[in-house]
Amino acid sequence: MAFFIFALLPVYAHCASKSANTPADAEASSFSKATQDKTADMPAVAAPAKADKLYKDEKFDRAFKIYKRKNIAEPDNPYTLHNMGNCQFRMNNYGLSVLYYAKAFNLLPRNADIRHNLKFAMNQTGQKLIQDGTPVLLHKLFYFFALSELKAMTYIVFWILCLLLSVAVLKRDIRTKIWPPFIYLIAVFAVFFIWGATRADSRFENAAVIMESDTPILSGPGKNFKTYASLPAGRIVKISDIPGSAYIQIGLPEEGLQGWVEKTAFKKI
Amino acid sequence: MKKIKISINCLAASLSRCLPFRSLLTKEGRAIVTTIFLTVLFSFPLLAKAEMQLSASVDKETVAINDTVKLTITIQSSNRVKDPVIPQMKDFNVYSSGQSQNITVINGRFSYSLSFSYVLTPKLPGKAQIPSIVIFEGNKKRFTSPINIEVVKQNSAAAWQRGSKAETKQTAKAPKARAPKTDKLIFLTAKTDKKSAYVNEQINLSLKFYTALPLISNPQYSAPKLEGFISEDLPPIGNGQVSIKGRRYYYNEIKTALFGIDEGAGIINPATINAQIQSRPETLSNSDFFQSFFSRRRGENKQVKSPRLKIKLMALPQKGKPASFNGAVGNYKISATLERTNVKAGEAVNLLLTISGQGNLKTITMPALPEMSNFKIYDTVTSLSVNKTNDIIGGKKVFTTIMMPRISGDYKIKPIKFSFFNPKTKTYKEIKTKPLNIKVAKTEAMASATDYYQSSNGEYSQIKTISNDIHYILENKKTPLSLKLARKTASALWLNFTFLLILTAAVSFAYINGLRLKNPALLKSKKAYKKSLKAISEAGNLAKEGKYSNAVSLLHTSLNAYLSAKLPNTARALTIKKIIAGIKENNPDINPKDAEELKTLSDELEMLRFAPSSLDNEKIDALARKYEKTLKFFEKELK
Repeated sequence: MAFFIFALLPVYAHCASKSANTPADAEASSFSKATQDKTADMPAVAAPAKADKLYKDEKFDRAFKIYKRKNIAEPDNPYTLHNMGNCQFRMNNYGLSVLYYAKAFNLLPRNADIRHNLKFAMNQTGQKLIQDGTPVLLHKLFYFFALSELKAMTYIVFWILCLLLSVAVLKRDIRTKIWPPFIYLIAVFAVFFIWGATRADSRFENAAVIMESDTPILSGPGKNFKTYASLPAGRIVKISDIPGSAYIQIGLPEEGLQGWVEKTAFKKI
Repeated sequence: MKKIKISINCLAASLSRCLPFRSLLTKEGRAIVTTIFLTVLFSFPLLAKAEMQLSASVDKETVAINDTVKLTITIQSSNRVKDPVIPQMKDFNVYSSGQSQNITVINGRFSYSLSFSYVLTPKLPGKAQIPSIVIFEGNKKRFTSPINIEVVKQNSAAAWQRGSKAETKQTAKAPKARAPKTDKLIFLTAKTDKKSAYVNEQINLSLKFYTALPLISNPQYSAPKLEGFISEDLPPIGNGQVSIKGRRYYYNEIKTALFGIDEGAGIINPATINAQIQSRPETLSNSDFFQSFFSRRRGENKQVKSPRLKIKLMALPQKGKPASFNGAVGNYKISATLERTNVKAGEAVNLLLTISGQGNLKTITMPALPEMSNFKIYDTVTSLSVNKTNDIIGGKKVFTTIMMPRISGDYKIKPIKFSFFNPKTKTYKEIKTKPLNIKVAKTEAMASATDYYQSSNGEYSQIKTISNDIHYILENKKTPLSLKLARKTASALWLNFTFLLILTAAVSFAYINGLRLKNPALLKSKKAYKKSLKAISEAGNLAKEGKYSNAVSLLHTSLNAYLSAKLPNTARALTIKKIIAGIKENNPDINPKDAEELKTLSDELEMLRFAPSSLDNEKIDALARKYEKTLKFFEKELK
């Protein structure tokens, strides 16, 4: 049993890393590309306090540029992403605000401010953070840990299990003492493993935010395919990338819709 | 008023007698109830009419033929109304002389107060009438009452006579000229105060009608057609007398303000005046003008035209144009006020932005408001007051913007910028209002239901949410350490394999150890050969050192140990014969000759152990080789 789970670990790690590692790194690189020209005249080390002051003075555009610089230098800071979302919200760019709040939420989902703002921005774009019928407490519990934290905890429990098992194999006389914590750890490992695997497939992982209003959903990856629906800006969709294609397959699990949209029409969370 | 009050009291007294349950009420109580009832009853028609109040008034009801009447139309309405429609008047020429708008917003209700002024010049003496003027309130039509005016000639004639006599004195000595042509005695001129102007800059056009002939009636004026201009009348109409080349002329002057629309050429086409003159023209100096003017109505029609004028309209310079510029030309001031500076969240407050000065205020649009994210901005209503003092169009325009603060707090509304082009200095100027402060207090119906606040009387009330917003930024926060560690740990996939290797090693070690514990004889047997080879090597070294006896002892002991390891029992208690017999028993296929050879080796070693004097290096070496050969053979045979 233990060996079966151990054998699955690298597969799980791969799935989780696709979701947890990629966005921040990809975001950093995409930001650096996107902002290469616009922020060239800004200081190398962005001062967050200055950005906070600019935000306070309602100079949201300038504040956003500094936050963006900080995000490139420190892509894992959820607070910077939250503030970027605030700037975009104040400039009435609800699509971008949803994007940044969702990124921040992925990094630190238990933060009340991030959760509130994501919920608010989603409401502005006609979406709900918590689906009807889902208990709020359950939703909060499910999104208490970030995916990277779940992954780390799964690894640590796995390492402890390995060491315990090694000791048990080598020392016959203490096997009976090791057995109860070993069983407990196996259960903890299973919980984290299943939790992480479920989160890796949740709404905000492998997802994107539609940037343009009335983005057409095509029935195939090309302009000649029929448009059968359109999406508003700020809508969160699940994506399944096809490398080399100008289109990407998207899914809307709530509506049961699936189709293709142009890659320029969205930004990955 | 007193009569009305008495009548109401009488009515109340008689009504109170008819009230049901009057026995239950005191005298004062009945009076109060009755008064309230009557007040409500009488106020219904008043309320119904309160929608719009319209009036037309004149500054005089008797006017001389050469004088003007000022007509004022006043409108008060709760709805937006259109400008009055002035009908064609048979008795008067009509000129607009300005307008004034005042819009008030109280508790979200609009109230419009508009005033339109006109200057009227009578055409003929006698009884004249200003007809009903139509006002549109939405689709509804409202009318003013007609106003009767009496046009008299006395004052005019007297004035004229006074002027005439003075003029006669001045020109008495002048030689009597021959009667000139009619065109020189009656004509119309057109002049502007400037030949070129910037777009939207004021240009004053003056049309002067001169006549040295007595007119039977007031002349009929047709305004010039304008190309590339918008116009604004500049009343009142000027009139008087002037002497031109020794001849006395009576003149009327009509002034109009023009504003260029686009750069290029603006055209003022000829204006026309139709006048009735006497068939036999007489110069004014020879007779009483108005006596002949009004006594003889027979005459001929005469039409005169003004010259066509062309004005160069220049584009506004691009250099120095501020971002906030929106086409205003003139000289202005700006100010902003808030009707209230202490409000509650969710309550409407009016921001009054006033732009005043000289210029075409009608074309001025609302300046952009600064970002006010905590306010909901509703529509803006505009009121305009135009004055034409000294023939310069000016006044003020008030933009009333209704705002509603969403969240409580102290706010500062940033300055509102407005820019204009001053044609006198030929430069742009940007002006701005002073920042405005407003305090927004929480309301009773605000915030979440779980929060409470204490009112002034010490009672606690529940607070209800009326609006929501995003939370403020998270200031200067660093990435949480737990998150950093988690990401580092999660990315250390190789560590998983390290721990797997440790486990694998432990399992392997345990397996080997398990095997050893299960069959120690077998392990001993497997190790015996290696130990024997090691002993041979050590014996060679001892021989080289000259310790021949030790070398032989070592070889002997090694052989016995090897042989006993190959047997399940220990060899210490067994003789070489029994050992060989045991080997033969366990390995029936072994060659007896080989077994004998082993015995010979054992005996030889036994013997030499006790006769060390016969030993040397060569002998030890030969023994070692023999021993090694035997071992290899037995390893092969005893597998």
